[in-house]
Amino acid sequence: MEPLSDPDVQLMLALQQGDLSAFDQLFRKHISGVVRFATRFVRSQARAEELAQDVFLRLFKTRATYTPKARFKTWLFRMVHNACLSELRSGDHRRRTDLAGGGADPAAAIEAALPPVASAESAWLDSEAIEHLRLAVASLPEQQRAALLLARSEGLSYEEVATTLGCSVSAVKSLIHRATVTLGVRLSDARGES
Amino acid sequence: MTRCDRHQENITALADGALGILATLRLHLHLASCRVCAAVADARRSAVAVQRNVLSAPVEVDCERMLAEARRAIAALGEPTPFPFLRAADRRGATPWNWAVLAGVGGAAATAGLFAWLVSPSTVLVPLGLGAPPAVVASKPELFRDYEIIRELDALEHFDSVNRVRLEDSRPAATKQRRRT
Repeated sequence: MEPLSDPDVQLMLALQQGDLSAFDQLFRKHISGVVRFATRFVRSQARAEELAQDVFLRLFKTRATYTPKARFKTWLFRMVHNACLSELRSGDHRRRTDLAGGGADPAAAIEAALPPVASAESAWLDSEAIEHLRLAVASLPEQQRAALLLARSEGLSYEEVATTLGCSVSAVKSLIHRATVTLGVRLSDARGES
Repeated sequence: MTRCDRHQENITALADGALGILATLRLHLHLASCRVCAAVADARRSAVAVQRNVLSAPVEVDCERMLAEARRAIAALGEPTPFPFLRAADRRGATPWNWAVLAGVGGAAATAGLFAWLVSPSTVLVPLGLGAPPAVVASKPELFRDYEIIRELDALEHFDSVNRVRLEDSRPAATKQRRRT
């Protein structure tokens, strides 16, 4: 897909020309996806919302240097992913996570931090299985989690995931495959335990 | 690595709809001949569908509150500037290009001011027909119109006497004395 044929790229270019309403449109369109990705990544919706604000503020600040090389969503999620990684690697985040979970049970802390699933589509799924799946995703290695969430949660193609993560398509294929297999194993284990 | 192991990543990619045409054909050929991989492919397809459903479930976000906060944060930045030509400066962090333009405009304005101060406006404006001539010129315009011709004629009339004087002045002193004697 040509970047210029992406309507979001056009909005970003309009913002570059000083059209502030374009910022509002981009914000309304993508904030939910950005918060969802960040929540699943940093395991806290409150922190995810702060990160999303930071990302959109950075988007505004860097609008003048924006050059459309890829789909807008790819560019946006690259910023989101970088912000999430910085957050996870900061001591501040570790301190907060420890406080939230009391340091005793990390799984319970993750579960407490994750937002409730609000999809009618997933209502048919066993709620326990959903929780297990979300916990399993939260405990995946960072790169696997990022690749899986970008592809399965945000609907990016493997090529777009590769662009976002700054790696090759074959690496993305491998990351997503390993994540899928790991999730399958953990869900089987959880079913066996229950 | 067995023949089936080679296809595992492609089975996942197929479930994601991310496999190329040729690879898809190769994989389908394998699945047609391998029951184990066909079963794995079925299981993975449903697992991927479940993951998509669960992971793409929307998160409740108060969009308008967050947008209001974002607007406040942007307003705190002090942007956008009301001067459009300065917008390029904050674009690249006050690039030399913009300062050069500003310096050029400032220099041109200073030169124009100096020129206006040195040269009387009538000198420039009257020949251009943009200003009224002084009263003397207005009373006898033909004199000023023909001023150049009159000056030339004057010069021709006094040519001989002027040159004679110059020639005499330039003769050596000895010659002048001989003539006197």
